[in-house]
Amino acid sequence: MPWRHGGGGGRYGRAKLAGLILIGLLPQPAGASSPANLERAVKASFLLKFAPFVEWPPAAFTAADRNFVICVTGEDPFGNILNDVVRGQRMKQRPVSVRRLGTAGSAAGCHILYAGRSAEAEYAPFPAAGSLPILTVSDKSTGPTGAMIAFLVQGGRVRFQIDDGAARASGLKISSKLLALAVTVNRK
Amino acid sequence: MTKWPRTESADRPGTGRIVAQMATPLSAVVIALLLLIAGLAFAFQLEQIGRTEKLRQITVQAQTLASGIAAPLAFDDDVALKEYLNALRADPQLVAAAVYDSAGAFVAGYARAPAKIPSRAEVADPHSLLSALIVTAPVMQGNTRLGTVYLHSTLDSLSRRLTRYLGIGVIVVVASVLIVMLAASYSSLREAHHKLQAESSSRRQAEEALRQSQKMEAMGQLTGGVAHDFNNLLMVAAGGLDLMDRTDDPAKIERLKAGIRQAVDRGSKLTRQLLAFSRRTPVNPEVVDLRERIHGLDALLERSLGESIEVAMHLPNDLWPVEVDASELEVAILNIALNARDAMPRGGVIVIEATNVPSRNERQDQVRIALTDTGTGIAPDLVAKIFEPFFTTKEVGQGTGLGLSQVYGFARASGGEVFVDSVIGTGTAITLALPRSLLVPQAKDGVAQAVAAFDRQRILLVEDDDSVADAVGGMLHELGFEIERAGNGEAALQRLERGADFDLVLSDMIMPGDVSGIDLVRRIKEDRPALSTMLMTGYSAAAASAAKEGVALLSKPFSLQDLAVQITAALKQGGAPRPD
Repeated sequence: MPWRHGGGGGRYGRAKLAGLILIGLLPQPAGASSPANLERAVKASFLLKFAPFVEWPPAAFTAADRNFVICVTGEDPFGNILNDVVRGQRMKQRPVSVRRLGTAGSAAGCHILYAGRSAEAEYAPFPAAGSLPILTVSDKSTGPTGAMIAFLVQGGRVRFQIDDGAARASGLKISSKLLALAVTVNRK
Repeated sequence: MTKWPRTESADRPGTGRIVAQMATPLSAVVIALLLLIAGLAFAFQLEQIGRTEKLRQITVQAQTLASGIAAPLAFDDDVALKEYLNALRADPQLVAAAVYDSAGAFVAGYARAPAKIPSRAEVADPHSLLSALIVTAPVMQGNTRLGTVYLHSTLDSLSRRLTRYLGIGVIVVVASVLIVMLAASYSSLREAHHKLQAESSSRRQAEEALRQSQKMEAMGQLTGGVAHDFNNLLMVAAGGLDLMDRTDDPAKIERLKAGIRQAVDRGSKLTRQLLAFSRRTPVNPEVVDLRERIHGLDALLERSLGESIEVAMHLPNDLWPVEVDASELEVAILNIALNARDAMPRGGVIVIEATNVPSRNERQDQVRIALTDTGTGIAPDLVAKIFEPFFTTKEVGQGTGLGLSQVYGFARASGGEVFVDSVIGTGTAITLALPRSLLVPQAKDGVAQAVAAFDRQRILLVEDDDSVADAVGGMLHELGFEIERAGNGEAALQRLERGADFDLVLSDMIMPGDVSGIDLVRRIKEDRPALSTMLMTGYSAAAASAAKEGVALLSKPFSLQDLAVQITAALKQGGAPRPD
């Protein structure tokens, strides 16, 4: 009874996932099959998939804004990839939208905030701990520190570590299922 | 016809009959089939319950899996997915499991041949195929659908399920076989029962037919013998009368008269013997001195037995008296002697011996009269038969087969017994054992005295038969009575109404009309207790019923002497004589 998944370290599944994402990327011809693009696509998809495993406090959803908002600050590594990922998706019974804040935009109203790298010296994309119920995400290697979830690449695969303490401080509850999948978890 | 055991038929014949009618092989097969169907239904029900249970179990398993793999599926964690699916592989019944992503594309899974997993997720209600259960469950996190789980489980293999139902099956089959066997054995038993009944009823019929034919044969022997004897007697009487008409020689007339009288005596003896079996109570028991009676037979025996037979009597003086019908006793002794004579065709000696046998244990005092001959003897297998009515070894006309049966009947009726002791070629001893009587025998009254006392007494003779009335009337007149005759019971009652100036009413027992002899006697006893009555009859059954009521009875035929003695007794016993 062979694993359909294949003995070759999950290549098939990943290729398929990548393929799915790549279908969305078809209009963007240049470097579509490069490992960097693939990594970006996976991260974009993860960004949305974190949402079901996280519980926001009721205050995070106001009547005024009917969307589930994913914000990107700093350099945007995703471009249209993220837009394609969220298109037509609903999260927490709301349509998902992407807002790009630029370098100095306010994070208020965001549910997930991805902070890309920035050359600016005073780049501090994340709001003060506990001030806003926003799930903050960044890259561990290149992005700013202090994110609740930090992407990292391990064994050629995109993984993440979680600072559960920070999330709880902001009133967010991260599912233990997600925590179990994390490379490391800071529970303070 | 069917007969049921008494106990059952007495209580509830209906139930037994219904049960018996139901217990046919067909109904047994039907019951066995019903049992089989019930067993199958039970197994099917169990199967359904098991299937439902299994489906629920698999559904729960799928939901658990879906919940567990939510994060690994969302974040593409192959290792964790594999761990979850590997855990499922431990269950051999889960032949296929698969995980699909939110777009319905296959992510991971396994399948054991011959099971297959669909290439794309098809969300469907849990359903079961013939021997498989297929369950799909959505992988949900919050409200977001992340993918689908597919589980394919086999049910227990057929052989395993069959093993599970083997117990029930065996019980059902054994019970069915048992029912069929019971029914078969019951029906064969019933058949045997019917056969037996038919056989026994046909045997009964055959026995009945045999008895009937034996009776007919006996009747033939009897009528043949009696008719032969009677015809001879009638020949003697008729011939004698004819000859008397043709002669005036007084000596010859006397001889002829003696011959006729002898013939008549023999005829009356014959009818006496005939009536002996039906009558078991002596009509006239009296206390008898055996020595005197048997010595009195001396002449009769010598005349009956012929010259070649010698009779020797050993009768002690101190013999106890017995209470028997004296004439029956004489006939019995004569019958035994006649049989002894026939056993000694070349002549011989008959020894008549009487002894007192004192009481011993339960037996009372007896007097035994043994007649021993030196004849041919009786074969052992015939000894038991010689007392049976109509049994005879003699040819038709030689014997009626009634002689020794009269002996037996007399002995039993007298409260005694008969013993036979016989040795082939040496001789036979027949012994009459009669109970001792403590009364003293009466001396015979002088007839002449009695006759003298009857002078001028009146008798009403009731008799329908003119010739009998003439004969009896003549005898009564000879005894010195005045006679008046009535033709039947009614006429007699009317005559008595006009004036009852009679000393005795002597009536026939069986007469035409509404008033029979016994009725007449009863009426007279009620209305005129002072008037003496006496009945005469030749029919022993009627005589027995009259004797029971204590009515004085005269058995026909009777001699002048008998008549005189009986009337004397009746007049003494009855009411006072007329005043004049």
